[in-house]
Amino acid sequence: MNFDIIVVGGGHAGIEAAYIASQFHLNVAILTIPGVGLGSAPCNPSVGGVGKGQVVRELDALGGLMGILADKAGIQYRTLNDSKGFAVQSSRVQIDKDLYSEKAEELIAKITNITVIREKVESISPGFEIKTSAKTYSAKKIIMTVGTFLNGKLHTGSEQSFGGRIGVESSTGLQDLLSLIKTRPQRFKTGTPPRLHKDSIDYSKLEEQPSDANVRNFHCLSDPFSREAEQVSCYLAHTNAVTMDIIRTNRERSPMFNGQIQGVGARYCPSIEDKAFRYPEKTSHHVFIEPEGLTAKTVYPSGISSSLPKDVQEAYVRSMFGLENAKVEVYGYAVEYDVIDTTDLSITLEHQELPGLYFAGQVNGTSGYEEAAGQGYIAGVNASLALLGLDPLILSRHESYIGVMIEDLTSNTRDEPYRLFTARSENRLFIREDNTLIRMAPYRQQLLLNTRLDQYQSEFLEKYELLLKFCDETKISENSILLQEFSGEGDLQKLVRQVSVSEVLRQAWLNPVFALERILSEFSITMHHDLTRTVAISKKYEGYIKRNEGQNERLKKMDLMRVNWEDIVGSGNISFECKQRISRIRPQTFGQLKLIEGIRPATLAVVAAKAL
Amino acid sequence: MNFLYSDDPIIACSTCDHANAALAVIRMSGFKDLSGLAPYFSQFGPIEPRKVYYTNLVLQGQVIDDVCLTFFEGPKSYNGENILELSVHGNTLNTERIINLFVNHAGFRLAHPGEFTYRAMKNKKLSLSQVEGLDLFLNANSTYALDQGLSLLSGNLHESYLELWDLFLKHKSSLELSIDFSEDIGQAAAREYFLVSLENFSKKFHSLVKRVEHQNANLIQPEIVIAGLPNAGKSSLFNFLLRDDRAIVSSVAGTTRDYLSEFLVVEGVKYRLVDTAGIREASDQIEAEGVKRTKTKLAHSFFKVLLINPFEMTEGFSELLSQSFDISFFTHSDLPGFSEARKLVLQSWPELASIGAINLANLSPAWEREINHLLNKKYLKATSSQPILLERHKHLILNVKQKLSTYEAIAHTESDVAILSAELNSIGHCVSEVIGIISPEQVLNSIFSNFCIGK
Repeated sequence: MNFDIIVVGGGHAGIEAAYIASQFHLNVAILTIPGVGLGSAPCNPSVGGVGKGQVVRELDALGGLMGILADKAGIQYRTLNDSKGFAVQSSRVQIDKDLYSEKAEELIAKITNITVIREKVESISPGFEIKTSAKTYSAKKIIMTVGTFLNGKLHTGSEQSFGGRIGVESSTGLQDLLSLIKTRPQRFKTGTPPRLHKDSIDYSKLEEQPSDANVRNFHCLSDPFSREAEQVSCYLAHTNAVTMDIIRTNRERSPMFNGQIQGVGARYCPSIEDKAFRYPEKTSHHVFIEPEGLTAKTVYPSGISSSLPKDVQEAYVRSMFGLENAKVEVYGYAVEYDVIDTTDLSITLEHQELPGLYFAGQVNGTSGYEEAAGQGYIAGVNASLALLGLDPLILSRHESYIGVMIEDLTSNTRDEPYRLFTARSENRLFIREDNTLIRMAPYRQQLLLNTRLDQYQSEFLEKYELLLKFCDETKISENSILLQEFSGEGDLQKLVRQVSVSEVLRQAWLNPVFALERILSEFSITMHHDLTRTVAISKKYEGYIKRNEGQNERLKKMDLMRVNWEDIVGSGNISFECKQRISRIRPQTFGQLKLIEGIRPATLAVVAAKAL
Repeated sequence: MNFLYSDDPIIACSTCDHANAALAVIRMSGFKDLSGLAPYFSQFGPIEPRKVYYTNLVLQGQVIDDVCLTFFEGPKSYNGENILELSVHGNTLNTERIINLFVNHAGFRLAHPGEFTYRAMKNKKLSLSQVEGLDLFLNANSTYALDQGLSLLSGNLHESYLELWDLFLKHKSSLELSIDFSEDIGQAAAREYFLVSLENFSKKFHSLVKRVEHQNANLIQPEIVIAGLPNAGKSSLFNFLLRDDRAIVSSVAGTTRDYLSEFLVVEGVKYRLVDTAGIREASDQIEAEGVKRTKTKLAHSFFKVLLINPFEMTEGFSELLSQSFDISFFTHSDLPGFSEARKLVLQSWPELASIGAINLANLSPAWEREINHLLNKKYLKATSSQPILLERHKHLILNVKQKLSTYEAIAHTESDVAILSAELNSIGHCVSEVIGIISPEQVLNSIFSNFCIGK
């Protein structure tokens, strides 16, 4: 059978890639392992988080899948950094894992130009012929979203097995094609905690974290605050001195510390062994007890991932207050896997040695469902655009977290799994959750993707401009009751003279969203809550963003400047070492060139001055 | 490397090397047209390119200097931009003042080393192989030392800036920590780390500011001050050291009303040698002013010499002795009765027992060598612990100082971390030019190595 695009893997990157490619009316297949549902969540049961919530909303505005599924399966919503200012607030939702996968299956099944093939890959030829146990398929483009299945190896204590996750063998058929390309010599490692039976926990001893009704749903067409699924709580437990002692006395039995595991884990996501040995003075660590679903019998104790032997896992879990009788349903394990060298990928995520082959997700050395989905979208769109002979979609790091991630990945190799943080962005005040639609909708509209969003988004953009204008041009007179309401208390500055609405929204002591809602009601104007919020927050930060843009304006233009790496390498003016690095990474923009490790300032200057 | 993207008007002294000369050339580049500069020149009719004009440089009606100016109109200029060259009087104070005028009033900024040349390359006026000093330019941001051309200072200098860099990084990390990892670390701990790291950075930075503010009197133009009561022989020593008769040497106490100064080069370092008025309870006003200035001079001087004439001691001597001196001498050892007079002095001030005596009428080269040796030793010690800051860096540091004080004011009240972070980034832009750029990756590394992250 022939397809335009075959996506190998049905995880978060895979379904996002296939879903968006299907929007281009191409003939798409998802080739996935039998027995595993689409969009399954083998790690923590949540979507979103700091920097990641932004990605989910960006995907949603771009016509992607993740926001839709997250809402269908969302059972507890939270806003992180609630008290720290709008720009750094991020949404996160706990998901019912089974429901999430079920909804993914349902949604994909309805799309007539996606074929889901559940067969094991036996070989992939350089001519893009894929042999499975049953058949042979061919494709014009292949998108590899194989997660941790490249040479995956599982560890629980001294028990080891080959596989990408518990109960699923790793795929040797991937080796043929991958032998043609370069992987990183350093393997990566990730881990999971033991899963506990949800009825074996004394919740009365733990701190409850209920769902927050004020978090906006992810999908832009959903009613903002009415939930599709029943809402439940998470709970907070803590490790103690006994817990940490149990781990420390079993150092020799820990695969992480006795040399059995060589892979590098992420420093931001340490196992409980890491915490015990790297921070010997600390005994109390947070453990979030997260339900894995409404009907699932297990909970996910986030913060104690481990590859210690089973008896040790049981002992340290039960040392915690409230978990004295906890029953371990599935033991924690670590998985080591190969990742590819993402500097071999172009900014479209196409492999530069093997054109037509795209990579997205954990195989690129990232962690997180959201990061995977973001890459899946970019790979899916660009594989389709390439097939249709159209210009690629490049999101700039100045306007989206997806852009930040893609540029970071393709410009440099990393020594640990890559996760998004807001700290990675230079433009945090602008790339916020509340204005995602302003930033991303134009790209979707231009590509004519998921057109059912057209009406909502066009209206939103139009009214956004109108409301901005209203804020700038409407004055509130000094006699207005509003001014008295908005004046600060005590030492705070009073608003005593006539001011514009925009000026009111900038005052440090006011919540701009409440203030704008109040003003609009005074003027008898009704606006969608989302719109009021976006405009109010945009106005609040306007001055800062402008200043930031002033500082970054030239930089930004410069970063987007296309460079021809072949010309740079051919130039006589650049050091041999720099040429080597440049020919390996093959930067397409000045921004990418700048991010290359070890690039000399002289090289940048020469390119910047166009003085090759 | 922000300057790679910047085409602001720039200014620099093309000839100055912190030494006085008859003439200096100040070069200005990258301005749009001449009209913005007209207010600063007394006669500024139509200026033809590549012709020399003689005019006065004025600020707010006051004449600053008389100069010759030449205009090179872009693209037919050295670097392809509009260039104005001013030949001015070469006294370093004068050139500094003129540069400050254009920086503070006319929107120019100080050029980075090599920046004129970089622009020439950018405008294809020069090929890369012709560009000398490009490395200096490109490294100026990160290795400050190269910029100064004072290799003997680089070790300590580098260390000093690394420390500042590290403290800034820690503070920046503390902000990022509270945004990206608040669940892991807890609100209270993040807040504490934020406040402590701010205090540490601020402390270190202000010690640098202090250095900058006192620098002029100290290391860029180190001063040797000769002090003593009236008629102690200060002017004689001054003239001996300069081999010149500039100061009026007379035996009438209080001849030198103000201080005189001249340059003196010792072991390649240029000092300003200052002869002061004597300190005494003066009755007439000019004398009183002279005394006041002497005290100020002493407070800011680099090397202090005290001369004591045992024949003419007054009450003011105790006050004088309260200053610390690098070297002291009894003078007039050739006069009869010197030993007796000296003994009398020692009765009142026994701590002076160990100091030597000199004959002003016949000063020996050996004595001069001793003073030079002490001077040079002190200079090397001082410069190795206190890097010398150039004008451009002083500007940057004072700029950061201003922004830091705004930031500190809101750090305790603003709850919007994103706004705090934006303010801090704005400091970061300036800081990066002084101490090097801090990348997000470094911030994250700092967080991971200092905190237990991961829920």
